[in-house]
Amino acid sequence: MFDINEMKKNVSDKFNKVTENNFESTTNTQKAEAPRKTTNTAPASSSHLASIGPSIHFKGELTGEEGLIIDGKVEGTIDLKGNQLIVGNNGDIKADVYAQTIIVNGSLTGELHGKEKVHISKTGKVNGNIFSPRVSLEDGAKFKGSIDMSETKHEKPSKPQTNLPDNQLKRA
Amino acid sequence: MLPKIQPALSDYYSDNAEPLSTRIFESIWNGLSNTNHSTENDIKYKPKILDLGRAQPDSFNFYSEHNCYLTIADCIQPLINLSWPAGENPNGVLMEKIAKTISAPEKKYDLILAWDSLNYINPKVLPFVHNHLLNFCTNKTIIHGFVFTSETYPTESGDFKIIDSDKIQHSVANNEVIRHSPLTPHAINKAMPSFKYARSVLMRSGLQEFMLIRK
Repeated sequence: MFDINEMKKNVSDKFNKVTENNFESTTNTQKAEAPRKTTNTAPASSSHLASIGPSIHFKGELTGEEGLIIDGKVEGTIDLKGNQLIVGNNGDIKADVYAQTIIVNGSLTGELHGKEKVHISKTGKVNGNIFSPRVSLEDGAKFKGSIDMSETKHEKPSKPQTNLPDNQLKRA
Repeated sequence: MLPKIQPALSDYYSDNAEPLSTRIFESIWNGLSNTNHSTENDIKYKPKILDLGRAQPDSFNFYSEHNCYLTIADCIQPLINLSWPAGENPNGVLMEKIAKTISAPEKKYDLILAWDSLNYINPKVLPFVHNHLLNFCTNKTIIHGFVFTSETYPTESGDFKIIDSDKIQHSVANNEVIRHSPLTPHAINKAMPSFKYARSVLMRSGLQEFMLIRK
């Protein structure tokens, strides 16, 4: 199980450390560097979202309660509950996805469960089934699969909750 | 290899921004959307559609408005590329290839859209495509199609955008055409014997709209 909040806290701590060090070195040398240019494939409004960069390859169950941009590779399941998922241009997802809105600019193979909306942009490539009340597609987008616009199946089915140990569970 | 000739049909293609008036599709669509599902909750029936063609944004909007179950198979070009296999058991090999090409959920569809596609498929392969499509059919499934029956027709299968139930826009990637005897809707029906030929309307420049209904 992978928790975005924990990841974000770790990244944030590291970032603060690095910033402090940079500040020290800058004040020591009295020389300020220009900010580095970064490639941003996500829309401007996504600046507050957590992100997974292009060099990251993650396998497993990814859950979180905030929006996320993925530019790396993810395999498994992604469950963002009532939040937004953006698959960046470099994003390569092989997973079933549960989110409020799902925007695909990269590649996604799996089931897409968008509680509100699923959008595939012109650079997007989706191979799988979409469950969402609203589905939109830009000219040039690639899609192969089924679309179900009924009001069901937008949330990940929860596992049965039990405190029984495995052996008792088997007997039960 | 079919001979390529160009240019031709230029009048049609320079003019094809104007949508085609599709009488058969309109009547099928009206029939499907007026069908009521006889469930306890009396929920309006959602038509199940299998589109063999590519996904088109405008068509998505149309289906989205009508809240239906849609499967985009995007399999036309791979089907066109299929040739008769060499070696032992060609039938089995071909069926396996077709099953991989037309991958759709194990559902029964009300309507199969085969737009500007069946006439490009190898006539020897077409009966096998028919056999595989039967997996997705009820005893009332309709195949709606467009075919070019003119002496010359585009080298590649075109794209269609649904503007409304009575208007569909057709476009092709280039103006190259081939001169060849195309499969008519009747010839297609012969290769698909589990369907009966229902209606056909000849449109401008040789594009013909037709429908086949499951027997």
